[in-house]
Amino acid sequence: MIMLNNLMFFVGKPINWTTFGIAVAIICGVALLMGVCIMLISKLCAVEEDPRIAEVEGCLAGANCGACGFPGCSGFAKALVDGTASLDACGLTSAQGKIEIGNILGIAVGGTEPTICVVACNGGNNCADKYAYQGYGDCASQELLAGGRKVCQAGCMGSGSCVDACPYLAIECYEGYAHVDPERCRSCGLCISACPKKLIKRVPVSAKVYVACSTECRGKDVMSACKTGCIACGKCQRLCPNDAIHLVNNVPIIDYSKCTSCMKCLEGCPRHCIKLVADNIS
Amino acid sequence: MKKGRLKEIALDGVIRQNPTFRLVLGTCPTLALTTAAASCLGMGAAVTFVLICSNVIISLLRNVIPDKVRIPCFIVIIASFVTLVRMFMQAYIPDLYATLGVFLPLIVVNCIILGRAEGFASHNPVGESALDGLFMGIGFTLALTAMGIFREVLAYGTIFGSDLWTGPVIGVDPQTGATAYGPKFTIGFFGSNAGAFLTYALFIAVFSAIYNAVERKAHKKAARKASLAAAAVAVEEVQNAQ
Amino acid sequence: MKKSLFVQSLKTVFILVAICLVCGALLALANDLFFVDDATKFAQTAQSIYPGFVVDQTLEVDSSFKLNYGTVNSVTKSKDGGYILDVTGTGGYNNGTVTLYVGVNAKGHITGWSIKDNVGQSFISKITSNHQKSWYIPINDSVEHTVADTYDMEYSTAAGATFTSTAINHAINVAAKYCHDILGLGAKGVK
Repeated sequence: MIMLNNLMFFVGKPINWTTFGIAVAIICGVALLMGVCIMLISKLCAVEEDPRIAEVEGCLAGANCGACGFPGCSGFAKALVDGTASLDACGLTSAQGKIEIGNILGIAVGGTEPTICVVACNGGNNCADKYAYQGYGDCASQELLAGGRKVCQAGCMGSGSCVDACPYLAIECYEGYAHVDPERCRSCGLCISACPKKLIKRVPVSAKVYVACSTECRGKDVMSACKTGCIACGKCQRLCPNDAIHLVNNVPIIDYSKCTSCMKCLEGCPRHCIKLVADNIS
Repeated sequence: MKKGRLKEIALDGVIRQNPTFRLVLGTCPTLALTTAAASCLGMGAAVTFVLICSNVIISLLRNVIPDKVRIPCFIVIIASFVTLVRMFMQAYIPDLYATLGVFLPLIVVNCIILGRAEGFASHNPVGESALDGLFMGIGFTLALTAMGIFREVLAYGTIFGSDLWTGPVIGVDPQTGATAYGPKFTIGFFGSNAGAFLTYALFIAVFSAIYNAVERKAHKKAARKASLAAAAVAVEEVQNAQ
Repeated sequence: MKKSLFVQSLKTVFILVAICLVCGALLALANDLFFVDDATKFAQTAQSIYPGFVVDQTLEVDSSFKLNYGTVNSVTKSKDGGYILDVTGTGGYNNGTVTLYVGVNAKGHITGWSIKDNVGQSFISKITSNHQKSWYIPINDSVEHTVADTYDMEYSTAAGATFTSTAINHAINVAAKYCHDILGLGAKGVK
């Protein structure tokens, strides 16, 4: 009774207990009714979900970049549990996370070495333009106009479609062409799909050199278009002590399983189109 | 609470995850109330109060509320606080109550409040939830007031109710001696609903441009710092090995 | 061991009802705490629409006064000869109505008005900026603006989503006509 008196003092006038009671009764009655309905319907419409999906999702990196090809990390987790995806599709999840996922799902985690991306072109300002481009400055839109403004059909335009695509801000354009910062790149592959000329390639993290040219032309054609383009002279192929670099269609390809990073190809190239990966660090 | 957590929550609420410009939540009051800057402040204050209170209660009860009735419980708690605010305003600030009108009960379903309840308060401790509510409310108020000032100045030529400029003088009233003004130049478009959308879009665009530029700069700086640190560590290791 | 459906439901429903109980009780108490009755509302608005208003007496509404676009709810006389009328105007958006307090001074000029209530026009508060409040209030004491004239709708129109100024116009007209016909204010030609 003392408590009720205190309440009345607080409110300032005698409390009308009837309206009070009605209000509380209505709100609780509705709550009771709805609570019962919710419980019944939840049993009726229950969806069976594998509890492993939530556990796997917890081990993933959670960036939701979509590079694996699935809708976000939850979609990827569901696909992993269903067995329709492979862990290699995700470049961002740490090795520890992948091992934990392997334990949950009882699958073997592959031993592939992590990769990073490099731009296989170093033309840019060294490469001549065939026209001056005015317009929405995207590489994809330039590509529609006679294959971009560079004379070299395999030349980076430096207009930044890859820069916009990268969720880790790892790509920058300077000296007229794009550079991927190997310390920030997570090999998600979004830039690879964004580049209209498909110039971005994956190399192992341990790689020290890469070929910065993709043109299939040779000799004088290349020299008239670009100051640093590969003329397919074959010197790198001859200099390599491990038989790791070969010209395929006039494009030098490095086999990283044989490459020992001796740098003989880099020093010998007369056009300086074999470069150090570390030179791209911003 | 960890040292940097307060700064992190504050920056998140006001800038990095500003509910109006970054999360694009709570667009109903944003579009409808920004014709007058004064009502923006009132709405912002109401939303901040409800945010803090509901975040605190929901964080306190986060281990008690069962998952199946999570949403009804959140809504009941939020609705109770909104009703409290309504009653208080009706009794003590009737002008603001009349201006906000039907938007006061709409705070119950304001996406910001339910969004932070589900996304933050339901799995964070009480102190952090309260701070998150406070800073989200501050971010919302600042965003709304900025848009309100912009629209009010352009559409009505007033700021917080007082005229910034007047129309051309068309004469002097013979009996009172006061000057009579004609209609003043305003861009009435910004007072309309289409103008509201356009203003919102402009603000989001400008905010995002500035935010992205600043973030890029910060990233570059951090990356440079990190690589320098890594180089220093490597040099040290080589020296130790020798 | 999986709990049976009944036990699970019991716990869930109990917590929901408990939260609703506590919130309902607190709200019911708060309602009593913050309750504002008509007399207080009247006192609050009286000063803002008619500065210097002192309640003298409440007059009976004349039952012979009938209009088809609104009604007078109450008339309160002030010590200095003015009145505050509580009028309802019809004809708003979706047949809604608006109830206003209108202040008329002894000279027959409208000193101010404010919205007390509305039916079916949720956003009517958008018409109460200072800009619109000055529509009916004469700039000066000239005789042309007394309540002897019924205010023409063209003076003031505003409309938007779920509100129009039609009901407000009708309400002001009701007040004006009542003041002129029944209370005898502002006869034409009298200063």
